Amino acid sequence: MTGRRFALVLARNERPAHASAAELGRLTGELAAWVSALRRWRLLVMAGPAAEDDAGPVRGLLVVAASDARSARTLADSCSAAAGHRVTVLELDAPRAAAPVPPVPPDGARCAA
Amino acid sequence: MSDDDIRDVLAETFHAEWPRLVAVAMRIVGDLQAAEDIVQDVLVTALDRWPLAGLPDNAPAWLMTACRNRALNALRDAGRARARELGVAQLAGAGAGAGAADGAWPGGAADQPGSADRPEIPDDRLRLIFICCHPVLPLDGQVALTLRMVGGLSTSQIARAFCVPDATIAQRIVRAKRTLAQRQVPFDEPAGPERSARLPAVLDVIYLIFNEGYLASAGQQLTSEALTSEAYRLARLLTELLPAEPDGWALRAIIALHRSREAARTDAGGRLLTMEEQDRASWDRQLIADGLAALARAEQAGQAELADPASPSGPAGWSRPASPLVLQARLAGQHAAAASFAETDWAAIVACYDELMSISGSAVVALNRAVAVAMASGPAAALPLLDNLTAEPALARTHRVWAVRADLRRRAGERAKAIADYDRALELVDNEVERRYLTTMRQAAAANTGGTRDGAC
Repeated sequence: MTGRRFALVLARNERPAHASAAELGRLTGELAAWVSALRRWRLLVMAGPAAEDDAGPVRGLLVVAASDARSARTLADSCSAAAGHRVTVLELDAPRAAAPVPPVPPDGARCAA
Repeated sequence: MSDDDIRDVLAETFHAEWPRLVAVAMRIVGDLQAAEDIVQDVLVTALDRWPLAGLPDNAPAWLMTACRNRALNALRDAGRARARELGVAQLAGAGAGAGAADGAWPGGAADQPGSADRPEIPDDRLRLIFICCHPVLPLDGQVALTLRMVGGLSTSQIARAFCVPDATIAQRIVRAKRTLAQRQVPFDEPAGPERSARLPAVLDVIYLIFNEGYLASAGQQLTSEALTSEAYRLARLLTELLPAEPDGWALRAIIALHRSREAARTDAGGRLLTMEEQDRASWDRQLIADGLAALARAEQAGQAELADPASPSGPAGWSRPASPLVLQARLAGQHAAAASFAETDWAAIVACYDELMSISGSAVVALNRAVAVAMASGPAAALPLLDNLTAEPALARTHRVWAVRADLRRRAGERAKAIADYDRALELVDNEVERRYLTTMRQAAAANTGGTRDGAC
Protein backbone atom coordinates (compact mmCIF):
# COMPACT_ATOMS: atom_id res chain seq x y z
CA MET A 1 0.00 0.00 0.00
CA THR A 2 1.58 3.24 -1.09
CA GLY A 3 0.68 6.90 -0.91
CA ARG A 4 -0.49 9.14 1.84
CA ARG A 5 -3.17 8.29 4.36
CA PHE A 6 -6.45 10.13 4.61
CA ALA A 7 -9.30 9.78 7.05
CA LEU A 8 -12.82 9.81 5.57
CA VAL A 9 -15.26 10.81 8.28
CA LEU A 10 -18.79 9.64 7.47
CA ALA A 11 -21.49 11.83 8.92
CA ARG A 12 -25.25 12.08 8.67
CA ASN A 13 -27.59 14.34 10.55
CA GLU A 14 -30.83 12.71 9.57
CA ARG A 15 -32.10 9.40 8.35
CA PRO A 16 -32.06 8.90 4.62
CA ALA A 17 -35.21 10.66 3.54
CA HIS A 18 -38.11 8.79 1.94
CA ALA A 19 -36.37 5.43 1.99
CA SER A 20 -38.29 2.19 1.94
CA ALA A 21 -37.03 -0.92 3.72
CA ALA A 22 -35.75 -2.34 0.44
CA GLU A 23 -34.05 0.93 -0.46
CA LEU A 24 -32.27 1.01 2.91
CA GLY A 25 -31.15 -2.57 2.32
CA ARG A 26 -29.88 -1.63 -1.12
CA LEU A 27 -28.01 1.39 0.29
CA THR A 28 -26.42 -0.85 2.92
CA GLY A 29 -25.33 -3.27 0.21
CA GLU A 30 -24.08 -0.36 -1.88
CA LEU A 31 -21.87 0.93 0.91
CA ALA A 32 -20.70 -2.58 1.84
CA ALA A 33 -19.76 -3.18 -1.78
CA TRP A 34 -17.89 0.12 -1.87
CA VAL A 35 -15.91 -0.71 1.27
CA SER A 36 -15.13 -4.17 -0.04
CA ALA A 37 -13.92 -2.65 -3.33
CA LEU A 38 -11.59 -0.33 -1.41
CA ARG A 39 -10.26 -3.37 0.42
CA ARG A 40 -9.78 -5.28 -2.82
CA TRP A 41 -7.90 -2.38 -4.37
CA ARG A 42 -5.72 -2.28 -1.25
CA LEU A 43 -6.71 1.31 -0.57
CA LEU A 44 -8.38 0.67 2.77
CA VAL A 45 -6.15 0.89 5.83
CA MET A 46 -8.87 0.53 8.44
CA ALA A 47 -12.57 1.17 8.95
CA GLY A 48 -14.99 1.24 11.82
CA PRO A 49 -18.45 2.47 12.76
CA ALA A 50 -19.11 4.95 15.55
CA ALA A 51 -18.71 3.05 18.80
CA GLU A 52 -21.74 4.67 20.39
CA ASP A 53 -25.11 5.13 18.90
CA ASP A 54 -25.31 8.71 20.16
CA ALA A 55 -22.05 9.75 18.55
CA GLY A 56 -23.95 12.59 16.95
CA PRO A 57 -23.83 12.94 13.23
CA VAL A 58 -20.56 11.00 12.89
CA ARG A 59 -21.41 7.47 11.73
CA GLY A 60 -18.01 5.99 10.97
CA LEU A 61 -14.47 6.43 9.83
CA LEU A 62 -12.34 5.00 7.07
CA VAL A 63 -8.62 5.43 6.70
CA VAL A 64 -7.59 5.14 3.08
CA ALA A 65 -4.39 5.40 1.12
CA ALA A 66 -4.41 7.87 -1.74
CA SER A 67 -1.76 9.55 -3.79
CA ASP A 68 -3.03 13.04 -3.00
CA ALA A 69 -5.91 14.97 -1.50
CA ARG A 70 -7.75 15.13 -4.81
CA SER A 71 -7.79 11.35 -5.14
CA ALA A 72 -9.00 11.05 -1.55
CA ARG A 73 -11.79 13.50 -2.32
CA THR A 74 -12.80 11.44 -5.34
CA LEU A 75 -13.05 8.37 -3.13
CA ALA A 76 -15.06 10.35 -0.60
CA ASP A 77 -17.48 11.55 -3.27
CA SER A 78 -18.08 8.03 -4.53
CA CYS A 79 -18.91 6.93 -0.98
CA SER A 80 -21.22 9.85 -0.51
CA ALA A 81 -23.04 8.92 -3.67
CA ALA A 82 -23.21 5.29 -2.54
CA ALA A 83 -24.90 5.70 0.80
CA GLY A 84 -25.96 9.27 1.32
CA HIS A 85 -23.36 10.13 3.94
CA ARG A 86 -21.62 13.47 4.11
CA VAL A 87 -17.92 12.68 3.93
CA THR A 88 -15.18 14.90 5.29
CA VAL A 89 -11.61 14.22 4.20
CA LEU A 90 -8.85 14.69 6.75
CA GLU A 91 -5.24 14.30 5.78
CA LEU A 92 -3.30 12.13 8.20
CA ASP A 93 0.13 12.19 6.54
CA ALA A 94 0.41 15.79 5.50
CA PRO A 95 3.63 16.58 3.72
CA ARG A 96 5.78 18.34 6.26
CA ALA A 97 6.80 21.90 5.73
CA ALA A 98 10.52 22.23 5.20
CA ALA A 99 12.27 22.05 8.57
CA PRO A 100 13.75 25.33 9.69
CA VAL A 101 17.44 25.44 9.06
CA PRO A 102 19.27 25.50 12.38
CA PRO A 103 21.81 28.19 12.88
CA VAL A 104 25.20 27.11 11.73
CA PRO A 105 27.25 26.23 14.76
CA PRO A 106 30.79 27.22 15.10
CA ASP A 107 33.21 25.06 13.22
CA GLY A 108 33.54 21.57 14.63
CA ALA A 109 30.56 21.84 16.97
CA ARG A 110 28.25 19.67 14.74
CA CYS A 111 30.71 16.84 14.67
CA ALA A 112 31.09 17.08 18.39
CA ALA A 113 27.34 16.87 18.86
CA MET B 1 -21.09 -13.12 -3.34
CA SER B 2 -20.74 -10.37 -5.92
CA ASP B 3 -21.36 -6.73 -5.11
CA ASP B 4 -24.66 -6.83 -6.99
CA ASP B 5 -25.70 -9.90 -5.03
CA ILE B 6 -24.96 -8.12 -1.76
CA ARG B 7 -27.21 -5.23 -2.77
CA ASP B 8 -30.04 -7.52 -3.83
CA VAL B 9 -29.76 -9.82 -0.83
CA LEU B 10 -29.79 -6.94 1.64
CA ALA B 11 -32.65 -5.20 -0.15
CA GLU B 12 -34.63 -8.43 0.01
CA THR B 13 -33.66 -9.09 3.64
CA PHE B 14 -34.68 -5.63 4.83
CA HIS B 15 -37.91 -5.81 2.86
CA ALA B 16 -38.77 -9.29 4.10
CA GLU B 17 -37.91 -8.55 7.72
CA TRP B 18 -39.69 -5.20 7.86
CA PRO B 19 -43.18 -6.46 8.88
CA ARG B 20 -41.72 -8.82 11.47
CA LEU B 21 -39.70 -5.95 12.95
CA VAL B 22 -42.59 -3.50 12.95
CA ALA B 23 -44.79 -6.14 14.55
CA VAL B 24 -42.37 -6.92 17.37
CA ALA B 25 -41.76 -3.23 18.04
CA MET B 26 -45.51 -2.63 17.97
CA ARG B 27 -46.09 -5.40 20.48
CA ILE B 28 -43.56 -3.78 22.84
CA VAL B 29 -44.32 -0.07 22.47
CA GLY B 30 -47.99 -0.37 21.52
CA ASP B 31 -47.92 2.49 19.05
CA LEU B 32 -47.59 2.18 15.29
CA GLN B 33 -45.79 5.48 14.78
CA ALA B 34 -43.22 4.68 17.47
CA ALA B 35 -42.81 1.15 16.13
CA GLU B 36 -42.18 2.46 12.61
CA ASP B 37 -39.59 4.98 13.90
CA ILE B 38 -37.79 2.26 15.84
CA VAL B 39 -37.56 -0.04 12.85
CA GLN B 40 -36.41 2.76 10.59
CA ASP B 41 -33.70 3.65 13.12
CA VAL B 42 -32.57 0.03 13.35
CA LEU B 43 -32.27 -0.26 9.57
CA VAL B 44 -30.32 2.99 9.42
CA THR B 45 -28.05 1.71 12.21
CA ALA B 46 -27.44 -1.38 10.10
CA LEU B 47 -26.68 0.87 7.15
CA ASP B 48 -24.12 2.75 9.23
CA ARG B 49 -22.53 -0.27 10.88
CA TRP B 50 -22.61 -3.28 8.62
CA PRO B 51 -20.53 -1.95 5.72
CA LEU B 52 -17.76 -0.77 8.02
CA ALA B 53 -17.79 -3.54 10.62
CA GLY B 54 -18.67 -6.44 8.35
CA LEU B 55 -22.01 -8.06 7.62
CA PRO B 56 -23.40 -10.19 10.47
CA ASP B 57 -23.66 -13.92 9.89
CA ASN B 58 -27.35 -13.83 10.60
CA ALA B 59 -28.72 -10.52 9.41
CA PRO B 60 -32.40 -11.17 10.34
CA ALA B 61 -31.45 -12.15 13.88
CA TRP B 62 -29.25 -9.06 14.20
CA LEU B 63 -32.10 -6.83 13.09
CA MET B 64 -34.59 -8.53 15.39
CA THR B 65 -32.35 -8.27 18.43
CA ALA B 66 -31.52 -4.65 17.75
CA CYS B 67 -35.17 -3.84 17.18
CA ARG B 68 -36.34 -5.52 20.34
CA ASN B 69 -33.64 -3.85 22.43
CA ARG B 70 -34.38 -0.46 21.00
CA ALA B 71 -38.11 -0.89 21.55
CA LEU B 72 -37.53 -1.95 25.16
CA ASN B 73 -35.30 1.08 25.67
CA ALA B 74 -37.89 3.36 24.15
CA LEU B 75 -40.46 1.91 26.49
CA ARG B 76 -38.25 2.46 29.52
CA ASP B 77 -37.42 5.96 28.38
CA ALA B 78 -41.05 6.80 28.07
CA GLY B 79 -41.67 5.60 31.59
CA ARG B 80 -44.39 3.27 30.47
CA ALA B 81 -42.64 0.12 31.49
CA ARG B 82 -44.83 -0.76 34.41
CA ALA B 83 -48.02 -0.94 32.43
CA ARG B 84 -46.57 -3.21 29.82
CA GLU B 85 -43.94 -5.05 31.76
CA LEU B 86 -45.94 -8.22 32.02
CA GLY B 87 -46.74 -8.26 28.35
CA VAL B 88 -43.15 -7.89 27.24
CA ALA B 89 -41.53 -10.04 29.93
CA GLN B 90 -41.16 -13.00 27.62
CA LEU B 91 -39.65 -10.87 24.90
CA ALA B 92 -37.15 -9.40 27.32
CA GLY B 93 -36.34 -12.93 28.46
CA ALA B 94 -35.74 -14.07 24.92
CA GLY B 95 -33.31 -11.21 24.49
CA ALA B 96 -31.45 -11.72 27.76
CA GLY B 97 -27.76 -11.28 27.20
CA ALA B 98 -28.39 -9.66 23.88
CA GLY B 99 -25.93 -6.97 24.72
CA ALA B 100 -26.23 -3.29 25.19
CA ALA B 101 -29.16 -1.33 23.95
CA ASP B 102 -29.28 -1.34 20.17
CA GLY B 103 -25.85 -2.89 20.36
CA ALA B 104 -26.60 -6.26 18.88
CA TRP B 105 -23.26 -5.79 17.22
CA PRO B 106 -20.51 -6.36 18.04
CA GLY B 107 -20.77 -9.08 20.60
CA GLY B 108 -24.56 -9.13 20.64
CA ALA B 109 -26.56 -12.31 20.90
CA ALA B 110 -27.32 -12.32 17.23
CA ASP B 111 -23.68 -12.84 16.40
CA GLN B 112 -22.76 -15.14 19.24
CA PRO B 113 -22.01 -18.77 18.48
CA GLY B 114 -25.08 -20.90 18.99
CA SER B 115 -27.52 -18.03 18.60
CA ALA B 116 -27.67 -18.05 14.86
CA ASP B 117 -31.34 -19.06 14.84
CA ARG B 118 -34.07 -16.49 14.91
CA PRO B 119 -34.83 -15.54 18.50
CA GLU B 120 -37.85 -17.38 19.86
CA ILE B 121 -40.51 -14.73 19.75
CA PRO B 122 -44.10 -14.89 18.63
CA ASP B 123 -44.77 -13.99 15.03
CA ASP B 124 -46.88 -10.86 15.19
CA ARG B 125 -47.14 -10.19 11.48
CA LEU B 126 -50.72 -11.41 11.29
CA ARG B 127 -51.68 -9.02 14.09
CA LEU B 128 -50.01 -6.27 12.10
CA ILE B 129 -52.00 -7.11 8.98
CA PHE B 130 -55.27 -7.21 10.87
CA ILE B 131 -54.65 -3.88 12.59
CA CYS B 132 -53.73 -2.22 9.28
CA CYS B 133 -56.95 -3.53 7.70
CA HIS B 134 -59.10 -2.69 10.69
CA PRO B 135 -62.69 -1.73 9.88
CA VAL B 136 -62.44 1.57 11.80
CA LEU B 137 -60.20 2.81 8.99
CA PRO B 138 -61.43 3.97 5.60
CA LEU B 139 -60.41 1.71 2.72
CA ASP B 140 -57.81 4.14 1.33
CA GLY B 141 -56.30 4.38 4.81
CA GLN B 142 -56.19 0.59 5.11
CA VAL B 143 -54.43 0.30 1.78
CA ALA B 144 -51.84 3.00 2.51
CA LEU B 145 -51.17 1.72 6.01
CA THR B 146 -50.80 -1.88 4.84
CA LEU B 147 -48.34 -0.90 2.12
CA ARG B 148 -46.31 1.17 4.57
CA MET B 149 -46.42 -1.02 7.67
CA VAL B 150 -46.55 -4.51 6.21
CA GLY B 151 -44.92 -3.86 2.86
CA GLY B 152 -42.26 -1.42 4.06
CA LEU B 153 -42.83 0.81 1.00
CA SER B 154 -41.94 4.46 1.43
CA THR B 155 -44.60 7.14 1.29
CA SER B 156 -43.16 8.34 -2.02
CA GLN B 157 -43.28 4.86 -3.53
CA ILE B 158 -46.92 4.44 -2.54
CA ALA B 159 -47.76 7.90 -3.87
CA ARG B 160 -46.03 7.17 -7.18
CA ALA B 161 -47.82 3.85 -7.51
CA PHE B 162 -51.22 5.52 -7.06
CA CYS B 163 -50.28 8.63 -9.06
CA VAL B 164 -51.15 10.97 -6.19
CA PRO B 165 -48.99 13.54 -4.38
CA ASP B 166 -46.75 12.33 -1.54
CA ALA B 167 -48.63 14.56 0.88
CA THR B 168 -51.91 12.75 0.16
CA ILE B 169 -50.48 9.37 1.12
CA ALA B 170 -48.61 10.81 4.10
CA GLN B 171 -51.88 12.30 5.33
CA ARG B 172 -53.77 9.03 4.90
CA ILE B 173 -51.13 7.17 6.89
CA VAL B 174 -51.00 9.77 9.65
CA ARG B 175 -54.79 9.84 9.90
CA ALA B 176 -54.98 6.05 9.99
CA LYS B 177 -52.41 5.82 12.77
CA ARG B 178 -54.19 8.55 14.70
CA THR B 179 -57.53 6.79 14.33
CA LEU B 180 -56.12 3.50 15.59
CA ALA B 181 -54.56 5.27 18.59
CA GLN B 182 -57.69 7.31 19.37
CA ARG B 183 -59.97 4.30 19.09
CA GLN B 184 -57.51 2.27 21.15
CA VAL B 185 -57.64 -0.57 18.68
CA PRO B 186 -55.87 -3.51 20.33
CA PHE B 187 -52.90 -5.13 18.67
CA ASP B 188 -54.30 -8.62 18.62
CA GLU B 189 -55.23 -11.33 16.22
CA PRO B 190 -58.97 -11.85 15.97
CA ALA B 191 -59.99 -15.41 16.69
CA GLY B 192 -62.87 -17.67 15.64
CA PRO B 193 -65.85 -16.00 14.07
CA GLU B 194 -64.32 -12.54 14.40
CA ARG B 195 -61.37 -13.62 12.30
CA SER B 196 -63.70 -15.03 9.66
CA ALA B 197 -65.54 -11.73 9.69
CA ARG B 198 -62.41 -9.63 9.34
CA LEU B 199 -60.42 -11.75 6.94
CA PRO B 200 -62.40 -10.56 3.87
CA ALA B 201 -61.29 -6.98 4.59
CA VAL B 202 -57.65 -8.12 4.54
CA LEU B 203 -58.22 -10.00 1.29
CA ASP B 204 -60.01 -6.98 -0.18
CA VAL B 205 -57.11 -4.68 0.64
CA ILE B 206 -54.56 -7.00 -0.97
CA TYR B 207 -56.81 -7.53 -3.99
CA LEU B 208 -57.29 -3.79 -4.35
CA ILE B 209 -53.55 -3.20 -4.22
CA PHE B 210 -53.12 -5.81 -6.93
CA ASN B 211 -55.91 -4.43 -9.11
CA GLU B 212 -54.53 -0.93 -8.97
CA GLY B 213 -51.10 -2.26 -9.90
CA TYR B 214 -52.29 -4.60 -12.66
CA LEU B 215 -54.22 -1.90 -14.48
CA ALA B 216 -53.20 1.49 -13.15
CA SER B 217 -56.32 3.64 -13.09
CA ALA B 218 -54.32 6.65 -14.23
CA GLY B 219 -50.91 7.56 -15.53
CA GLN B 220 -48.61 6.71 -18.40
CA GLN B 221 -47.89 3.11 -17.44
CA LEU B 222 -50.27 0.19 -17.85
CA THR B 223 -49.12 -1.44 -14.64
CA SER B 224 -47.41 -0.50 -11.44
CA GLU B 225 -44.90 -3.24 -10.74
CA ALA B 226 -44.36 -1.92 -7.21
CA LEU B 227 -48.01 -2.62 -6.40
CA THR B 228 -48.42 -5.97 -8.14
CA SER B 229 -45.26 -7.39 -6.62
CA GLU B 230 -46.21 -6.07 -3.19
CA ALA B 231 -49.69 -7.56 -3.48
CA TYR B 232 -48.13 -10.90 -4.43
CA ARG B 233 -45.75 -10.68 -1.50
CA LEU B 234 -48.65 -9.90 0.86
CA ALA B 235 -50.72 -12.77 -0.50
CA ARG B 236 -47.82 -15.17 -0.02
CA LEU B 237 -47.34 -13.89 3.51
CA LEU B 238 -51.02 -14.42 4.21
CA THR B 239 -50.94 -18.03 3.00
CA GLU B 240 -47.83 -18.60 5.09
CA LEU B 241 -49.57 -17.25 8.17
CA LEU B 242 -53.04 -18.72 7.49
CA PRO B 243 -52.43 -21.93 5.54
CA ALA B 244 -55.89 -23.35 6.24
CA GLU B 245 -57.76 -20.44 4.63
CA PRO B 246 -58.89 -21.34 1.07
CA ASP B 247 -59.47 -17.70 0.13
CA GLY B 248 -55.89 -16.73 0.97
CA TRP B 249 -54.61 -19.42 -1.41
CA ALA B 250 -57.15 -18.41 -4.04
CA LEU B 251 -56.04 -14.80 -3.90
CA ARG B 252 -52.41 -15.86 -4.20
CA ALA B 253 -53.37 -17.97 -7.24
CA ILE B 254 -55.23 -15.08 -8.89
CA ILE B 255 -52.33 -12.70 -8.40
CA ALA B 256 -49.65 -15.17 -9.47
CA LEU B 257 -51.56 -16.22 -12.60
CA HIS B 258 -52.29 -12.66 -13.68
CA ARG B 259 -48.76 -11.52 -12.93
CA SER B 260 -47.43 -14.34 -15.09
CA ARG B 261 -48.71 -12.40 -18.12
CA GLU B 262 -47.42 -9.02 -17.00
CA ALA B 263 -44.43 -8.84 -19.33
CA ALA B 264 -46.50 -9.99 -22.32
CA ARG B 265 -49.26 -7.41 -22.01
CA THR B 266 -47.51 -4.66 -23.93
CA ASP B 267 -45.13 -4.68 -26.88
CA ALA B 268 -41.73 -3.00 -26.99
CA GLY B 269 -43.42 0.30 -27.88
CA GLY B 270 -45.78 0.12 -24.91
CA ARG B 271 -48.83 -0.85 -27.02
CA LEU B 272 -51.43 -2.92 -25.20
CA LEU B 273 -51.61 -6.50 -26.48
CA THR B 274 -54.77 -8.56 -26.12
CA MET B 275 -54.50 -12.09 -24.83
CA GLU B 276 -54.81 -13.38 -28.37
CA GLU B 277 -51.82 -11.29 -29.48
CA GLN B 278 -49.62 -12.14 -26.51
CA ASP B 279 -46.62 -14.39 -26.89
CA ARG B 280 -47.40 -17.19 -24.46
CA ALA B 281 -43.75 -18.21 -24.43
CA SER B 282 -43.05 -15.03 -22.51
CA TRP B 283 -45.55 -15.84 -19.77
CA ASP B 284 -43.72 -16.45 -16.52
CA ARG B 285 -43.76 -20.23 -15.99
CA GLN B 286 -42.65 -19.97 -12.39
CA LEU B 287 -45.58 -17.73 -11.50
CA ILE B 288 -47.96 -20.01 -13.39
CA ALA B 289 -46.65 -22.99 -11.44
CA ASP B 290 -47.06 -21.13 -8.17
CA GLY B 291 -50.54 -19.96 -9.16
CA LEU B 292 -51.74 -23.42 -10.14
CA ALA B 293 -50.24 -24.91 -6.97
CA ALA B 294 -51.97 -22.22 -4.90
CA LEU B 295 -55.26 -22.97 -6.69
CA ALA B 296 -54.88 -26.64 -5.80
CA ARG B 297 -54.21 -25.68 -2.17
CA ALA B 298 -57.31 -23.46 -2.19
CA GLU B 299 -59.45 -26.36 -3.44
CA GLN B 300 -57.90 -28.70 -0.84
CA ALA B 301 -58.37 -26.22 1.98
CA GLY B 302 -61.99 -25.73 0.87
CA GLN B 303 -62.58 -29.49 0.99
CA ALA B 304 -60.93 -29.72 4.41
CA GLU B 305 -63.14 -26.93 5.67
CA LEU B 306 -66.23 -28.79 4.49
CA ALA B 307 -65.08 -32.03 6.11
CA ASP B 308 -64.57 -30.30 9.44
CA PRO B 309 -67.67 -30.89 11.57
CA ALA B 310 -66.92 -27.71 13.50
CA SER B 311 -66.82 -25.70 10.31
CA PRO B 312 -69.54 -23.05 9.94
CA SER B 313 -70.22 -24.58 6.52
CA GLY B 314 -71.86 -27.53 8.14
CA PRO B 315 -71.03 -31.17 8.72
CA ALA B 316 -69.18 -33.40 6.30
CA GLY B 317 -71.14 -34.38 3.26
CA TRP B 318 -72.78 -31.03 2.84
CA SER B 319 -71.80 -29.15 -0.20
CA ARG B 320 -71.57 -25.48 -0.77
CA PRO B 321 -70.41 -23.48 -3.77
CA ALA B 322 -66.81 -22.44 -4.03
CA SER B 323 -66.10 -18.91 -2.85
CA PRO B 324 -65.90 -16.07 -5.39
CA LEU B 325 -62.13 -15.92 -4.98
CA VAL B 326 -61.73 -19.64 -5.65
CA LEU B 327 -63.90 -19.29 -8.74
CA GLN B 328 -61.85 -16.36 -9.98
CA ALA B 329 -58.70 -18.39 -9.39
CA ARG B 330 -60.20 -21.22 -11.45
CA LEU B 331 -60.90 -18.74 -14.26
CA ALA B 332 -57.33 -17.48 -14.21
CA GLY B 333 -56.17 -21.10 -14.13
CA GLN B 334 -58.17 -21.88 -17.30
CA HIS B 335 -56.34 -19.15 -19.21
CA ALA B 336 -52.94 -20.13 -17.82
CA ALA B 337 -53.44 -23.80 -18.65
CA ALA B 338 -54.47 -23.24 -22.28
CA ALA B 339 -51.59 -23.98 -24.62
CA SER B 340 -52.80 -21.36 -27.09
CA PHE B 341 -55.56 -18.79 -27.36
CA ALA B 342 -57.45 -21.03 -29.77
CA GLU B 343 -57.32 -23.90 -27.29
CA THR B 344 -58.89 -21.89 -24.47
CA ASP B 345 -61.87 -23.74 -23.05
CA TRP B 346 -64.39 -20.89 -23.27
CA ALA B 347 -67.32 -23.13 -22.38
CA ALA B 348 -65.65 -24.02 -19.09
CA ILE B 349 -64.94 -20.34 -18.50
CA VAL B 350 -68.58 -19.41 -19.14
CA ALA B 351 -69.66 -22.17 -16.73
CA CYS B 352 -67.32 -20.77 -14.13
CA TYR B 353 -68.77 -17.29 -14.63
CA ASP B 354 -72.28 -18.72 -14.30
CA GLU B 355 -71.32 -20.12 -10.92
CA LEU B 356 -69.73 -16.82 -9.97
CA MET B 357 -72.86 -14.93 -11.05
CA SER B 358 -75.00 -17.17 -8.85
CA ILE B 359 -72.95 -16.10 -5.80
CA SER B 360 -72.04 -12.53 -6.55
CA GLY B 361 -74.04 -11.08 -9.38
CA SER B 362 -71.93 -7.96 -9.62
CA ALA B 363 -71.97 -5.88 -12.75
CA VAL B 364 -68.23 -6.42 -13.25
CA VAL B 365 -68.68 -10.20 -13.19
CA ALA B 366 -71.59 -9.89 -15.62
CA LEU B 367 -69.41 -7.85 -17.96
CA ASN B 368 -66.61 -10.41 -17.88
CA ARG B 369 -69.12 -13.18 -18.43
CA ALA B 370 -70.42 -11.39 -21.51
CA VAL B 371 -66.89 -11.36 -22.93
CA ALA B 372 -66.59 -15.09 -22.29
CA VAL B 373 -69.97 -15.73 -23.92
CA ALA B 374 -68.81 -13.75 -26.95
CA MET B 375 -65.72 -15.92 -27.19
CA ALA B 376 -67.69 -19.13 -26.77
CA SER B 377 -70.74 -18.34 -28.92
CA GLY B 378 -69.92 -15.22 -30.92
CA PRO B 379 -70.60 -11.49 -30.42
CA ALA B 380 -74.27 -11.68 -31.36
CA ALA B 381 -74.95 -13.90 -28.35
CA ALA B 382 -73.21 -11.52 -25.99
CA LEU B 383 -74.41 -8.11 -27.18
CA PRO B 384 -77.89 -8.35 -25.61
CA LEU B 385 -76.18 -9.09 -22.28
CA LEU B 386 -74.41 -5.75 -22.45
CA ASP B 387 -77.40 -3.53 -23.07
CA ASN B 388 -78.48 -3.60 -19.43
CA LEU B 389 -74.93 -3.29 -18.20
CA THR B 390 -74.33 0.07 -19.88
CA ALA B 391 -77.03 1.44 -17.58
CA GLU B 392 -75.41 -0.01 -14.45
CA PRO B 393 -74.15 2.87 -12.30
CA ALA B 394 -71.08 0.84 -11.26
CA LEU B 395 -70.03 0.45 -14.88
CA ALA B 396 -71.49 3.39 -16.77
CA ARG B 397 -68.92 5.80 -15.37
CA THR B 398 -65.96 3.63 -16.39
CA HIS B 399 -64.68 3.04 -19.88
CA ARG B 400 -64.69 -0.73 -19.65
CA VAL B 401 -68.29 -1.58 -20.54
CA TRP B 402 -68.19 0.81 -23.53
CA ALA B 403 -64.90 -0.63 -24.71
CA VAL B 404 -66.24 -4.17 -24.54
CA ARG B 405 -69.46 -3.31 -26.35
CA ALA B 406 -67.51 -1.38 -28.98
CA ASP B 407 -65.33 -4.43 -29.58
CA LEU B 408 -68.29 -6.78 -29.86
CA ARG B 409 -70.16 -4.39 -32.17
CA ARG B 410 -67.09 -4.02 -34.36
CA ARG B 411 -66.79 -7.78 -34.62
CA ALA B 412 -70.50 -8.08 -35.35
CA GLY B 413 -70.11 -5.61 -38.22
CA GLU B 414 -72.02 -2.78 -36.51
CA ARG B 415 -69.36 -0.19 -37.33
CA ALA B 416 -71.21 3.06 -36.62
CA LYS B 417 -72.42 1.83 -33.25
CA ALA B 418 -68.97 0.52 -32.44
CA ILE B 419 -67.41 3.90 -33.18
CA ALA B 420 -69.93 5.63 -30.90
CA ASP B 421 -69.05 3.24 -28.09
CA TYR B 422 -65.30 3.73 -28.66
CA ASP B 423 -65.86 7.49 -28.41
CA ARG B 424 -67.69 7.05 -25.10
CA ALA B 425 -64.92 4.78 -23.78
CA LEU B 426 -62.27 7.30 -24.84
CA GLU B 427 -64.08 10.02 -22.92
CA LEU B 428 -63.84 7.96 -19.73
CA VAL B 429 -60.48 6.21 -19.90
CA ASP B 430 -57.66 7.61 -17.74
CA ASN B 431 -54.82 5.22 -18.44
CA GLU B 432 -52.65 6.37 -21.33
CA VAL B 433 -51.78 2.89 -22.62
CA GLU B 434 -55.45 1.91 -22.77
CA ARG B 435 -56.30 5.21 -24.46
CA ARG B 436 -53.82 4.47 -27.23
CA TYR B 437 -55.26 0.97 -27.64
CA LEU B 438 -58.85 2.25 -27.87
CA THR B 439 -57.82 4.95 -30.34
CA THR B 440 -56.21 2.30 -32.56
CA MET B 441 -59.29 0.09 -32.37
CA ARG B 442 -61.59 2.99 -33.19
CA GLN B 443 -59.47 3.76 -36.24
CA ALA B 444 -59.67 0.08 -37.24
CA ALA B 445 -63.45 0.18 -36.92
CA ALA B 446 -63.65 3.38 -38.95
CA ALA B 447 -61.42 1.87 -41.63
CA ASN B 448 -63.30 -1.42 -41.40
CA THR B 449 -60.14 -3.41 -40.80
CA GLY B 450 -59.78 -6.49 -38.65
CA GLY B 451 -58.10 -5.51 -35.42
CA THR B 452 -58.12 -8.07 -32.67
CA ARG B 453 -60.85 -10.36 -31.51
CA ASP B 454 -60.65 -10.27 -27.79
CA GLY B 455 -60.41 -7.38 -25.43
CA ALA B 456 -59.02 -9.44 -22.61
CA CYS B 457 -55.43 -8.73 -21.68
